[in-house]
Amino acid sequence: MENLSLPTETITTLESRIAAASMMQWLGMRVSEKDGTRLYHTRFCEEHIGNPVLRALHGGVISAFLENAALLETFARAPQGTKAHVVSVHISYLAPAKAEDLNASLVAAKFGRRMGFFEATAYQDHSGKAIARAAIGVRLIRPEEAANTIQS
Amino acid sequence: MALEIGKGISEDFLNALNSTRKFIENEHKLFSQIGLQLTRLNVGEVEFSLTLSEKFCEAPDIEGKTHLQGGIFTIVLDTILAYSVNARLGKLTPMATINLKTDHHALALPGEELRCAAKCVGIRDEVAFCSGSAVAIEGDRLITAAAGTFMLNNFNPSIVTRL
Repeated sequence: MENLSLPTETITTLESRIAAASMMQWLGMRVSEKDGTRLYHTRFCEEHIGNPVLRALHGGVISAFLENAALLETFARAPQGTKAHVVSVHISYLAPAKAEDLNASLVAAKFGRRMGFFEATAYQDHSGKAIARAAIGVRLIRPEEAANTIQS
Repeated sequence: MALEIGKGISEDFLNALNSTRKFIENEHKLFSQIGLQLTRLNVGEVEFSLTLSEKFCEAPDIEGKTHLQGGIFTIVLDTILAYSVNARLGKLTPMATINLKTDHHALALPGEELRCAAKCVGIRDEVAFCSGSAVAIEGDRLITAAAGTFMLNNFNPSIVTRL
């Protein structure tokens, strides 16, 4: 597996992508960089709660966060002008997610010309204990390919 | 839209649903924004109508057009897959998602009329197996398909379910 070093988009550029996407805004996303690896974060808000008695984050919110983190990671790694969309997400929930901020780290299992395959881990505290893991497939459409994709 | 109720749905279950529905539709911070309206209820099967706002969109494209971001369909489908388990059991049951597989087939617009359906196909040793989809009414376009598993009775049964 590859690590996520050598970004082609800066953190600032990724933050501007977050600012432009209302879903990422709703998730309260931001991105940081540590030792050449990008980390993704979502700020807790009451709207992310699934079970109000347990005060646990909704599983779909965690999945949506990891999906959007994979999308940002794709833009960080792909050539400028590349379009991308998430094809599939397969998430396993390993532990309850508390009503707190959520973090994610991603590893690219493969980042090719047409597809990126990410292993994403969500965690909440400094121990890095995983609360969810997701395998995410992202379709990349590079500028030279954009006119020739098959639709049916 | 009127609720279509199938045979085998008990009065007790309907009463339990009705008592939670007001809270879900008006007070729950997440679900009240999604605006799910239950339209069909059968044993193990549910169908909802909804429209999603621009709040849940991806960044606009080069022409300024924006679409709903796939993650919001994951939230909706996770929710209604769990609901289908309740519909199979005929009671509100505490549960947690074990895993969820989501495939995003096509794009949908904010404000577009959508139909989301889910089915609980079986339960083994307190693990429920479900599948579902989100479809745009116009053109009957499949937007997102999902399959998931849920662990039942993992919380104190006296507390409310995820729905």
